[in-house]
Amino acid sequence: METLRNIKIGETVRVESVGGEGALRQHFLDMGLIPGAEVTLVKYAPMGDPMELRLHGYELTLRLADAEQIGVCPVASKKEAAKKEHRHKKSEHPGLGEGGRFHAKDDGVPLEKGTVMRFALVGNQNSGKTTLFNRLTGSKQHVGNFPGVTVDRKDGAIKGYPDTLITDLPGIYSMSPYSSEEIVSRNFVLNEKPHAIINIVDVANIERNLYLTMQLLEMNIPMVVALNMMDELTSNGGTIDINQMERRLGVPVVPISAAKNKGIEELVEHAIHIAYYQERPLRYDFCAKNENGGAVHRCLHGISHLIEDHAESVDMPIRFVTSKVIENDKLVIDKLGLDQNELETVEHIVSQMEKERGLDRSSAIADMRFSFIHRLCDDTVKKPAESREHIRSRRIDRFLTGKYTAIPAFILIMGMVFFLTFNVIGAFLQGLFETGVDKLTELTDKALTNAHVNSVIHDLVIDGIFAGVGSVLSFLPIIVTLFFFLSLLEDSGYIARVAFFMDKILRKVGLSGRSIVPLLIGFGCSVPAVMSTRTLPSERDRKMTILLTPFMSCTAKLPIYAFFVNAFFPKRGGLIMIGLYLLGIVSGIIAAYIFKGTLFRGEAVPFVMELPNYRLPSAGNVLQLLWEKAKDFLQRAFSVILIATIAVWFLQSFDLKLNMVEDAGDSILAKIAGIFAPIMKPVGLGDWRILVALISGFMAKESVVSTLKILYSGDVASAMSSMTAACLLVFSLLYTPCVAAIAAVKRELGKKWALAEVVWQCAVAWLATLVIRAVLLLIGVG
Amino acid sequence: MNIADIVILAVIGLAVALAVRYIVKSSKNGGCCGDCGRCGGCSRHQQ
Repeated sequence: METLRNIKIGETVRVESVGGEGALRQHFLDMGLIPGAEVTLVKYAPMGDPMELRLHGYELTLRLADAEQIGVCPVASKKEAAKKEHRHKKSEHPGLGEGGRFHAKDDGVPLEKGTVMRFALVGNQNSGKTTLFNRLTGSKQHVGNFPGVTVDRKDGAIKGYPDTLITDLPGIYSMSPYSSEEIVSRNFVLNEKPHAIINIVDVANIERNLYLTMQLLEMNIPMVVALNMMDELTSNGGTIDINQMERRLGVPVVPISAAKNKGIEELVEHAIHIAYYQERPLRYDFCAKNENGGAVHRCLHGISHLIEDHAESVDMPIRFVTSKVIENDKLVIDKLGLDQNELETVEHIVSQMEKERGLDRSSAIADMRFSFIHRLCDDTVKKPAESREHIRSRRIDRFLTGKYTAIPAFILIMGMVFFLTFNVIGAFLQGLFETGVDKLTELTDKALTNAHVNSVIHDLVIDGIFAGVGSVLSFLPIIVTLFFFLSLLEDSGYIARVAFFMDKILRKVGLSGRSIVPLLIGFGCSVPAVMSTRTLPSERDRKMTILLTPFMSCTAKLPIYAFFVNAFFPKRGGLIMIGLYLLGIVSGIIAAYIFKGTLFRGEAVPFVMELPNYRLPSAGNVLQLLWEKAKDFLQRAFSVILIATIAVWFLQSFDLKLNMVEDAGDSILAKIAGIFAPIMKPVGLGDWRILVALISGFMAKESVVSTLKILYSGDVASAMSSMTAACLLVFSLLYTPCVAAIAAVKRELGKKWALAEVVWQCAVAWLATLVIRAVLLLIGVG
Repeated sequence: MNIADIVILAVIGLAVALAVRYIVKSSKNGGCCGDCGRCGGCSRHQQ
């Protein structure tokens, strides 16, 4: 049989069989790669792997090795072309989720007055959940144009309804979890039992989105379907018969545009109504008795009766549990506690179904769902031939993911980002900020002198707080500028493309293309970078990516680089900056090779990812992100860094008997740091002041500069050699991430890994600095 | 010690107290596993 790997660009084929096993195979099926589905090869990534496919109206990436597992056969002519034009008759409004007209269940029990109604916002990745969450709650969570922006749940009350609690969950493609953030969503719906679900459906990919809807209906929880991005569909000439869709799904369906704030009020009214009256879906049984001989129908209902008592005893919805048992979901089967006889009976029924249906268990269930979806969409959805957004994306991709242009374009874009940040916009704004901080320090100094403030307190304010916090504050513009560009890249949808064409390169070091996202975010800040690894479907890839993130120099290290470059190498500033970033990347690659051969043997997980259309980043969203980053930086400056500077000032101003010292070499700080001096001497960083600065950098990287300024009384340049400065730069680049990043690692991987990361990064930094120092000594520097 | 010294020390003391409060508070914000009933590992469900 021909496989998907062998088809030509532009060719459309029909899926015959889906190979592979376990969660990956289930993921293929959940993404719509089911027997009978029509798939078109759009293009290959610039290096020939992975491939971009079009199916069910959206773009999916797949590696050649995985494509080899999918058997296909040719399609004579495009199904769509042969499809006759459906004329939708006007259908009556079923009025589900509306008061006073029709209640789904007469026996619905309203919630007690004053009960806090809990809602779960569930939908596919990149379907606009967070945008809708922000609209509903008035909060300002970051949204992006990349599958998997939300990796953690977020809670808030619906505006105007204080007795509500809505939870924004990470995007999922099905209730068969594939990655760890998908488990968050599944666990929440199953265990937290929200009063109602708001299921957001992206109408541009309606078939694939409805696949999740069908599984949510099986949960038998009151639900309202929000058809998002309706404005795009209608402006491109498409329509949806909302009334008929509502009637066929048995739950309220509300067209909305979260981005344009349309339909939100109606959605809220329906959601509140179904939650308050606990109006459950009118149907969750979508298997037709006569469809394909009825094998799946009989199998589902047979097993459903067999395990009903078990499902009731563990308080799980029967239809959902039945589907999962047929799909051989171990988590659900274990929870049910079926005895041997029952397990064997289930296996007999499933085997018979597989035999009669001619499909394996998972494919048969996926096929049953997609068959219903296709019938539903054929009858209710009039799709535009091709949306304007898609045409635009296709055109842009000709260049940005083109065979010969993708990599040069990526280098050019990233080069522009760093050039504009460090040399043009960020540098200019930093200059202005620095002048402002200097002026303020001068004014405060004068005011304190005029007020005859005690010399110790004067010293604390000017040489401690102002020198420390003030010097760090001046780097705010550079950090905000870098985040501005990273946010533009993410919101536009470009980052997803970078993952697509970098997959082959990253696979050489044992990672998948998806790892590029955390790594790129790592250039901004390690904390969100570590969090964003939740989108990676395998533990191996997650651990490896987390351990590599510190090699991507974060913005908090910028003050260190900028300070030393200005003080010691002003003429070669740009070169040294780029050199440091490259050194980080090269060290990361070497570390990845080491990991691949030792800790994390084996191959990276398959690269199955959706490519979203390009979108113009919204000004509000970008400004919101910038404000959050600036706020975060200021909070750090006035919390961690403030405490660190005061502590450093105190420890370097007093001796062990708490007498003020003349020479800082007699201080408490000098005594403590002296213990570590022998270890750091071989790398040229044996000076106790440098050691103290590096230790304070563990609290927040920015405080390395502030501490040095305090300890060297502002005159670092004349007290330190160029060689020491170079060694310090290399060590700062590679040594342990700050405490916030380590805390994030602890949350994701546990204490042992967090501790191991601290030790590992310090060892790497020490070794790299030793090598660099030896090279510099050899070529006669210093 | 004059009144200016006392005021400055009080302001610094307050700033440090607020900073410590902020650090303690933000360290409690853990990631959510979705299984809040049994987890107790983060503070989100208490918000």
